[in-house]
Amino acid sequence: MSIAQNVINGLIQGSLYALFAASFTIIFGVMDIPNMAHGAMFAVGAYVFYQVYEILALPWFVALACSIVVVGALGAAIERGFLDRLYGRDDSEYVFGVILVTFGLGLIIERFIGQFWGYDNLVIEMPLLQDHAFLVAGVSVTLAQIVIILFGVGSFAFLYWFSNHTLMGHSLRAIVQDRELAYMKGIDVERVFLYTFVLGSAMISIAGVLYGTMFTLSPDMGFNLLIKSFIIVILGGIGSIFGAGIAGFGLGMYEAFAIAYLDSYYIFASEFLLLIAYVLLKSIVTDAETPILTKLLAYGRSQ
Amino acid sequence: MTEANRRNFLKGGAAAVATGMAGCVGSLTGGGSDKLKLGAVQPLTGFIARMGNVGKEAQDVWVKHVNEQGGVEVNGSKREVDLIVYDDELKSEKTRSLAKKLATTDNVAGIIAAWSTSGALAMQSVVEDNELPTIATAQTVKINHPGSYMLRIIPSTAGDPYPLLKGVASARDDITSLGVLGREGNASQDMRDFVDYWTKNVDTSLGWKDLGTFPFGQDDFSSFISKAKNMHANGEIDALLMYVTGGNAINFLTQAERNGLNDEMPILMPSAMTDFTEISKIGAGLKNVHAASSYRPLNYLDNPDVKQNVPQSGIDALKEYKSLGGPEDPIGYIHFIQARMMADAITDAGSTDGPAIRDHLVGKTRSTVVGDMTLNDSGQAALPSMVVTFTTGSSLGIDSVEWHGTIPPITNIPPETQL
Repeated sequence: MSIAQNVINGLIQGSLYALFAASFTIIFGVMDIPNMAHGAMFAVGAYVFYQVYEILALPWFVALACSIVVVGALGAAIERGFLDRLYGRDDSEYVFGVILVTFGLGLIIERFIGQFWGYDNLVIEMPLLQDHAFLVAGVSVTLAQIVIILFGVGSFAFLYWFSNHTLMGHSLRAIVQDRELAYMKGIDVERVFLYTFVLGSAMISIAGVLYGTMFTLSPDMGFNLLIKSFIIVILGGIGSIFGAGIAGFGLGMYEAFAIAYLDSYYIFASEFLLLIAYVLLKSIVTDAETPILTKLLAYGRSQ
Repeated sequence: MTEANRRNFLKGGAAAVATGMAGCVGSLTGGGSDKLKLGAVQPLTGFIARMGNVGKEAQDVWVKHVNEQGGVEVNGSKREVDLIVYDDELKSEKTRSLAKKLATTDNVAGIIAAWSTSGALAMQSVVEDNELPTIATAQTVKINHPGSYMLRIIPSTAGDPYPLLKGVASARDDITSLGVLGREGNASQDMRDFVDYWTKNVDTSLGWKDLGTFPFGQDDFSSFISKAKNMHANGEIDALLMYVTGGNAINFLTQAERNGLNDEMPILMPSAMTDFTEISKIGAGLKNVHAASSYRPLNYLDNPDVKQNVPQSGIDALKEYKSLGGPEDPIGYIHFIQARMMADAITDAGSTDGPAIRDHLVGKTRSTVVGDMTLNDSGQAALPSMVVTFTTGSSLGIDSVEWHGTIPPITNIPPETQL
């Protein structure tokens, strides 16, 4: 396969990861909420769109709005109803509490989707996005894929701006760094968390819709992307929006090249190996009593 | 523990012991009750619930029909059928425990549905230990061995590509090398092993190249399609054999068509992968797709090519099945045949004794909706099958039957059967 083809394929694959990982970054990476229900919310976004656009035959923008509202409301309910009760607990209780609660909710949501829409694969037909394709380096790139690439990049750019250049973003960062201090500074912690969680939910609903226009819908359609998103957010550096964006596209690029040489078993395993190596190296380089980096610098100076 | 709680606990314990004892008593009584008990383990909930429910519906239709006629004849007298159906949710640990319950508590004479590779493997020891004839709906070759009580009337994972190799790849001069792509797992590996055997021992003029595997949840196939196109451009492959199912199949074929892969080479799909209900959503993506199937073409008898290749006895049996209200779905046909085959074997055996029933299931040719079928000692049927091509309009239609024949009972590599 030519390098150009691999790059195009990697960009397509990476944009799918970035699409999902963008909203996950703000919720997991910045807010420290390992939301295991994120994949199920992604699916809800796609299914609501399917219901309104395919079944009720309403215009796509109405369907998209419905999708955003429903998943946003679902996000608000999860944040207020469940997660709010876990904030402020000690680390292990908080992390395992959030994982257990959101994992359970994710399963319930997926079961609900299965019961309501069935477990067969569904298809959203949007000829405008699906039938218009351009040949780039011998690879057919559809309008849907271009929209996804743009949305993926745009999402990270938006989050970067939101996090660094808005009052809400600054407040969010302050809360994550020191919740008590943020309270004392008069930040409405509950409201900032709620709004940000709803923002992440709205973003994942759009991601679900876009993904649904390219691929088939199934209740567990978000599960694989959720796993990849954990890798992406950790590799990108937890809390780093820019890093997650790079990691998302980088992972897609890696897979596109790896497919030429490796079986899928090894590709997935190698991604986790990379993650493990990253975590171990990071701890050696930065967390040791005398970090290796410091030792190396000292050695360099002495020469 | 308070006095009251302890009493409740003891009451519960006693009840549990009594229930267990009742199970033991049941197992001792054998199939001697008035009704003929049969069992089924179906995925009635979960992600392939549709299939499980269609199967159950067909079984219910059969039970109603048989009981209206007085039941199944066993040793000179008719016994009504009591079909006990359990939902295993496609969880293998449940499949095993439910099979055990059917074998030792419900004391059924046979099991007429058992889904999924992991489920069938999980229940296999129960079935073998209890000498309980079971007609499985799982394709793995791992359940097959001489004397097995696990039997099957669908192709094995190894035999699945046979019609495509025999009827297309080896039959066409323009195909000299196949690219093989499959989802992760044993099924895909079995297919590769068979293709490898075929190209080295049966048709040595045919070669094959491995295009790799992809995980279950793969949606984007851009890289695989580019790989196939490049291998084609380099003269390495001129057809693609792919083990892709469900949502994977829809996504792959849609993207293949968009990238012009179908224009460049035929795409061959084994029967397990060809759920016509699913791929009907693809439309133009079915261009140049060649699909093998035994049961699914029965829904297209209005096509003269298909009709010509189904025996009249099969068409009559299908009419009867439909007149009874059976679901017009291949899954339904398979379950109906499984139930009827088991009942016929019980009648022929004249008893509900497991080994006797098995003796009458194996080695005997039975007439089914797809034609005559014979199970070998390893539990695999020699199965009539077709390779079809599709029309590519808005609704799915069969364009032509490219090949028609019988898939030999292939259960291992090298196959212990004439190819």
